[in-house]
Amino acid sequence: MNKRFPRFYYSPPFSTVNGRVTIDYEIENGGISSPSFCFDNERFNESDSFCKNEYLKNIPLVSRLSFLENHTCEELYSSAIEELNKIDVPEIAKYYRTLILELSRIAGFFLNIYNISSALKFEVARMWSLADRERIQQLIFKVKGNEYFAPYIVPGGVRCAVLSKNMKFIEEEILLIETKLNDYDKLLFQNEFFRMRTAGVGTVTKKEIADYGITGPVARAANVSFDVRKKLPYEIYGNFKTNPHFYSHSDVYDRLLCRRNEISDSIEMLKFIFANIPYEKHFANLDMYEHGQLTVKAGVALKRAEGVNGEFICMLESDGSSKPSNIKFRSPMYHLAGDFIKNLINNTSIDDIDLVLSSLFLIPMEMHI
Amino acid sequence: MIKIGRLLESLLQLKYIARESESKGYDESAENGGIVEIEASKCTNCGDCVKVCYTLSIRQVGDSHKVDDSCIRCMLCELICPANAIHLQNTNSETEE
Repeated sequence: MNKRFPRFYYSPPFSTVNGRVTIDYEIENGGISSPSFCFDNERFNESDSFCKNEYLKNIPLVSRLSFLENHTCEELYSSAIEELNKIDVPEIAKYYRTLILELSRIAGFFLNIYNISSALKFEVARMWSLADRERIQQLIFKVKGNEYFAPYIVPGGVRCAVLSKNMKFIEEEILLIETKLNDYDKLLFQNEFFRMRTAGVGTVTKKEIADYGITGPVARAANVSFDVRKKLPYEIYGNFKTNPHFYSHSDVYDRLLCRRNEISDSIEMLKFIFANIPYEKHFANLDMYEHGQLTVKAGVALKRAEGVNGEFICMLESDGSSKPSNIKFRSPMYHLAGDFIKNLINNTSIDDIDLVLSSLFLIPMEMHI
Repeated sequence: MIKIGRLLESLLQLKYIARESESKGYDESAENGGIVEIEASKCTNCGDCVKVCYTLSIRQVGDSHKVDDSCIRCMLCELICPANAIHLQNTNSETEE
């Protein structure tokens, strides 16, 4: 029997797209064998491009580092500068920061539900999750009062306050989404077809998680309860206590269930914010900004935050001048993705390849191979 | 034929949605971040906003400054302005009274 060597495109199959993931594989008995992972990305050296600019002019660049985790990047960059300058952020700014970080987390998880529903051709769940993601994006617009990629978290605080009428609107919408989660349960998690297609598919073991340094919902679905928000609380995350969830199989089903449970946890955090947000007139400490410059004292800061996909790290090194001497972001994308995905999809059914990759929530632009 | 019929139907629906949003007074500029305005009465001509602008969108006109269409609304100018003369219109950036 002749062997076939098809190619699977994870990103759009256009040569102009930066960050293309393709997998060449052989088919044997309806399963995938000897996959070879190809990654085509013109990765620019972030540190070089950031070091050419002043600290202030880097702020809009940081917001555009990731389409999914732009607020996490802003949070890391701003908190690193605040640590070096020993600046206290107003309490209300911490609430606003947590608000936008949790909103973008929920939006990210709805995008993952969309990805998995698309892979399964579950049209209703696909359209619902996309609509709900759009709904969350509208709330983010209400908070920022600006474009999605415009910076909101800035060194010293946040860029603008949220009007009380907008806050009420956000609260109503979030309560609506909380009620809709029950419908998602009926549509996906209590659906026998969904369970049959996802249970036991793409299992990631605890050893693999340790070997490849995986964090976030993929690790938590394998009962590795590491969460930067709990271990090293930043902003107002120290005030929250959420019950840990336990999962039994670490497969695609558990990964999506983990994300669904984390949407509930995020909604609980948002409710805390709505109930306890203080009233302060100043939402940013602008002592650092003088004569069109942002000055940062010499030193090294290493900040960690829990992004949508896991632990996001930023290292900032300053020599006291107006430009950073070294800056590096480490995204939670799988840093040994080639090897990890090769092992994961080897011997899986050809129908499941899209499903398994969707459950990992790959963002090709953030990956290092 | 059935497929073409469905396509036409969906296109008509799109048209309907577009019309509905127009009739509701949907302001696209507000969704896209509004318009950056510099208040001439408050501007002290210090030039900090010109220095900080990443896209070189701010230029001096007479005693004040103006923002052109290449602005990406990063609002660094608002952050840096010592006279508090720069703000976004049609958004919630103004402080609550």
